[in-house]
Amino acid sequence: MMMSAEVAEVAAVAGLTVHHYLGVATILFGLGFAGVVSSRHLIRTLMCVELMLNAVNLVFVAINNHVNPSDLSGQVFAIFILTISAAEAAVGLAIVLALFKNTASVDVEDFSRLKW
Amino acid sequence: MHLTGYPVFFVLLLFCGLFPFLLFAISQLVQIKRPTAYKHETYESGMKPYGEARIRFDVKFYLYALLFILFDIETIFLFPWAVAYEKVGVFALVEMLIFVGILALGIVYAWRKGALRWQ
Amino acid sequence: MFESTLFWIFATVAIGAALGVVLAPSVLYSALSLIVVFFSIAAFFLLNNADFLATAQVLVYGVGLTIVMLFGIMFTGDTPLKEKAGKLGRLLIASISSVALFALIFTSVLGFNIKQFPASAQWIRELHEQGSTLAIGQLLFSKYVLPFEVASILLLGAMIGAILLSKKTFTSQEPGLTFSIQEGRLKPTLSAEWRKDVGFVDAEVATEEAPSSTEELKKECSL
Repeated sequence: MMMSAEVAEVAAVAGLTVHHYLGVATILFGLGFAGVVSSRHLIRTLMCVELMLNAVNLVFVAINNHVNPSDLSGQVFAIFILTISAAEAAVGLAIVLALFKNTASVDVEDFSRLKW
Repeated sequence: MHLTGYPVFFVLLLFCGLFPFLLFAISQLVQIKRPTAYKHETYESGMKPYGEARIRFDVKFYLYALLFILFDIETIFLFPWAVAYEKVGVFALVEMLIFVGILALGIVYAWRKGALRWQ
Repeated sequence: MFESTLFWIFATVAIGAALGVVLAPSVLYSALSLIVVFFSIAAFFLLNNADFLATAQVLVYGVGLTIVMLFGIMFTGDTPLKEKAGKLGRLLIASISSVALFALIFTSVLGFNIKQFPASAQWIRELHEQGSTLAIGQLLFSKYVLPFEVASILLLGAMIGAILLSKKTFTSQEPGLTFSIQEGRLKPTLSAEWRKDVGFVDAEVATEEAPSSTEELKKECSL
């Protein structure tokens, strides 16, 4: 027990644990969330959504590599997330452009017709 | 965390990243500066540029970019199939043909709808 | 040691650029710093033995997606938004909620302690020699065939939806005035209510009072 704790400590000093990557991914996810909440520009909101999806991808890959490297399912999941985010960006931007053509605005606050 | 083959790659990346700055720095150091009013004109001949640099682009450019990214994803799926082709065999070939066929429906739709016509 | 140095460099770059995405004054700058985030995440993928995914990241996110975003920005003209009151309050709400979310996720991440399945040395060596592309290809065509096919349908749907949205005729802000593209030219059309409001008289309105049958017309003419 004593021995393994020592080994873990040495590993944490010398190399990287999965927690490093998870920490960075969490920070990126939080920043993306802050951007989605605070941004008024529609395209910036979309970009922050992409940022959050990327953070999730990073978590998938890091956990795959640190927990079970002989099964690359995590990487395959990341490829599917890549696909979904590309489709989301294409349709989302098409919606933004259609809104811009109709109202000549990209401000989120201008689109409040459905607001109660 | 086992970067056996990558140090060379990262050194190359670093080199490629620094090379443009290096070139500009050398150019700054070596060049002879004798500025005159004519040298500071935007072009030696031709029109003076007017208006803003950030103009609006037409939506038709956007449609091409959009189709590009969706077929980019198709490439991402084609690549592992090509590498693993010997191990996955005919079944994967059929699956891939279905995949490409479904995406081909998309391009047929774009064609019929006139999205690819340059107006 | 080399890996952890790289990790700290790219972590700093990624977080700094992500801050740029959220806080940059112009949305064009935030798109450019998004490219930096994508590339540093590709570097993280390389550090995690995911060489194929790093390539895919650069190809799809670093090039394709940012091009689409930049076209979107260029199309909307990168006009600065009207300054409104409450920017500070919005930033405050955003930072409080995101810090709360961060704390929530981070505490659960710190407690992350799942049983690990270390791979055999031979597998690791093979992975290093051939890269992960082959293994991903095998997985994609054995275990994940159905998601793979469903992905193609998703892409088809996205393509059709995006083309429909961008090729549609568009309307102006005025309620009665619509524009349509006919033979490459913009053609304005006024709606019926709009015509009544403006006092617009055209052939249709005039014929409403006109006699409906030829018999009536003859009668009117003979008078």
